[in-house]
Amino acid sequence: MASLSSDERPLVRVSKVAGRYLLFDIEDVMYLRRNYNICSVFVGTIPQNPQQNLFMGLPLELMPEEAQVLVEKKVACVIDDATFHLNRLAAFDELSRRAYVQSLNNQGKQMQMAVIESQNRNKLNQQGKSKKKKKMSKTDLEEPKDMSSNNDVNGPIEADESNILFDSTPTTPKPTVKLPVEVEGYLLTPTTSSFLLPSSPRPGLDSSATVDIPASYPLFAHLHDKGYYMMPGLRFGCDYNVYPGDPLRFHSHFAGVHFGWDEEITMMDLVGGGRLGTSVKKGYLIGGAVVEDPDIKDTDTDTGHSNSRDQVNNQSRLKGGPVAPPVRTFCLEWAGM
Amino acid sequence: MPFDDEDIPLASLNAASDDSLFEAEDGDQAQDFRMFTSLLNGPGKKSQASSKAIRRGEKDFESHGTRAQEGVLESSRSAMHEVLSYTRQHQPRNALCGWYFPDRWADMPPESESIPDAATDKQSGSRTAKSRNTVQGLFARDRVVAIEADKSTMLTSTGRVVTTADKFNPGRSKTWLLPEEALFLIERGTLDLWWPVRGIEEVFPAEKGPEESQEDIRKLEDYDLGIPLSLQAAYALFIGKDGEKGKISLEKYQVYANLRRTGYRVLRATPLPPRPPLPQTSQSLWQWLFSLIQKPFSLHSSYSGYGPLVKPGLYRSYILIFEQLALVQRHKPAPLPPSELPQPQDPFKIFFHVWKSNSSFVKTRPPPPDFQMAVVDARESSVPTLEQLDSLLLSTPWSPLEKDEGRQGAGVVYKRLKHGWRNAVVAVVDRGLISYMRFGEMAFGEELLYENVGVRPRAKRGGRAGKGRGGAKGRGRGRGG
Repeated sequence: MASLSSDERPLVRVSKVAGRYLLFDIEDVMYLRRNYNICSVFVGTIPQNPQQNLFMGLPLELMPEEAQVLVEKKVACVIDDATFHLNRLAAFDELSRRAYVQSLNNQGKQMQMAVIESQNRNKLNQQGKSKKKKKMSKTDLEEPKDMSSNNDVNGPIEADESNILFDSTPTTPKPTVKLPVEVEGYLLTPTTSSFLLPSSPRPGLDSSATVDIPASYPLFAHLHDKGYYMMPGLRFGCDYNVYPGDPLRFHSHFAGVHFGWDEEITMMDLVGGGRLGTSVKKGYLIGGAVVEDPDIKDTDTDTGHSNSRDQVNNQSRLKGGPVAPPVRTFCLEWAGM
Repeated sequence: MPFDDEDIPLASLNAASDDSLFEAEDGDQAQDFRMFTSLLNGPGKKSQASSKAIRRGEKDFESHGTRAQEGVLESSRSAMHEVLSYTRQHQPRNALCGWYFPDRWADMPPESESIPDAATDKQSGSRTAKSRNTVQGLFARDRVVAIEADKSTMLTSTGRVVTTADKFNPGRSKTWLLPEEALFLIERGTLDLWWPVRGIEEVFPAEKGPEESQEDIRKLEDYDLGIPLSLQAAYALFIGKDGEKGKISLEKYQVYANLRRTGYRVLRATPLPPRPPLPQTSQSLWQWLFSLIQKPFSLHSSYSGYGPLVKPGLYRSYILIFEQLALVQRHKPAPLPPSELPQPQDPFKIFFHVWKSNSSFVKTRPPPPDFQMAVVDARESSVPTLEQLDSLLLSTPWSPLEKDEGRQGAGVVYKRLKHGWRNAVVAVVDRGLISYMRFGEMAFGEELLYENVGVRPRAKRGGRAGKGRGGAKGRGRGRGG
């Protein structure tokens, strides 16, 4: 699955804007998702369909815990993006500006050409299909075998079909749509500011910003280290929704809540959390960093899920050791006797 | 999922493989982008992902190491990759170009917190306000992006012309956007943002006329004027801490964008002028109502320290008894005069006014908002205290349900109670996930149910009795047949 090892890849730039941690590069997002079980929340509008809230697009907003884990695993660096942009934009000289605008224009032209081309192809296809239907209605009794063979090899054949049709029916007028020689080119709004990056990235050039981690960081780091995927817990009233795999594919198993080692936990929290968790088919997971005796290995009282846990652990041991102090976790379920 | 039912959780425990439950609770957790690609791709432009039939909410409990599962996950991921690698592009003809001038209106006065006097507001309100450089809802200091064209349909509730500026000020006739408006337009692929290298005088040459200035811009080469910015740059420039000039905090922007995507119209909140019909007519009506309600409380003085609560005597209706039983003072909502309005503190403070998308909407003179919204970061604030909630609610306008004032009947009573006398929506944002909660000022003491009991007992009892008898008759007939 890992297409690039972390050695070849430059550090992922996490942009810190007003205390939030954002990712703009889809390649980075997918890389982290595949290799470092970071999924987090897409918070942007998808320009292809901007009037809906179901599917969200870039940027990806990382939880501070995620940013911190990535920094500690030496996968990412955090950059204060506001100062970066102001400095870079002020220092952007005319030559590079011209080159950049030129390259954007070229890209725009290419994209427009591509769009026109695909439109033409669509038109041809549709014409071809309508022709084909007519033809079918005439000849479906005569050569049924031919049709079925065509249908069997459906996908890639389709483009050929139109060609064949046009070859075989020379009387049809040539498609009126032609590729224009010169297009004005789309105006493009790039997603990332990679154009502002210096061509030879020198480490330490940009002062990396610090991450303000919340108190629940040890629990997060612990679970992340075990290969779990975490999402913000707002939907189930917890700190983290804990998934055994990519949330694209799996339901979450736990509603994780962090407690300090000496923090008093009220019975109401336990009962309430346990009941809520159970009724949405999740374990109510509580955990905290071990303070007194760091030798205690973490053991789960949760026996029901222990199998799945071990599997996950074995499957995706991640590079880099644990980045947080040892943590003990417990899992509650509402027995409902 | 009924929480108070003891049996159902047990059942659900056993049915561990039942996916429908997960769908209900988990449905919007992570959307499958394969569905999205299948929506996007038109006929002919086939991608691998869209060619398969896809159901929503189809998820597994855990990894079982099969190749099929990995394949499905991989196709989901690649569909996501494909959708999100899109680059925003604008048609060259009708591209909407914006220029970032953060300090253009820096010397404008900040948006005033005070409410325009009711007296001046009625006749000469707009004029006097203009001369004082404080047009309601202009937020000129925060307007940082100037756009060239004013034709887009997106602009019906977005952007303002800074009318208070001097006449010969370059950029006066342009539409200026707030950071959240600009960022949203960029994000949805409507706006192309540029970083100006030259001053505003050169980007928008002297204002001879709208047509000429447009032509002048075309003459200059693009790269002489500025740099087209990326989405990342837009976030870096527009997202800031609360109260920073020309910026907006990320959680507020997320709420703004979420509402705009759904189709609501959203403007930054301004102090609302008191509603015109309130002062004279309805207030007197309410005073009249209060005078009715206050009667029982006036009895308080006549309670003696001993003896029965209900004085012995002959009662022909329960109302008098209930009135004597009303010992505890109840909350009575009442409209406040503008001078007494509290100034709530952040974050429990109305920040957005939200309107449903009606056809007629004038952004310079918006109607009273449908919703008033405060935005709260889930991680940096906790449950509001009574004081915070109280001042939040008191700062919203007095808005009881007006149509069925004082009408009785169960449906109306509960509708009125649910609507509340004042209400505010609090949007809680946890790292990009938003939950909306509506807080209302309730007053159960305003709905005296015993008045209904006193008035209608016979009718109700009669109805029930009638049904009973009807049932008996039915049975009788059945037996007879």
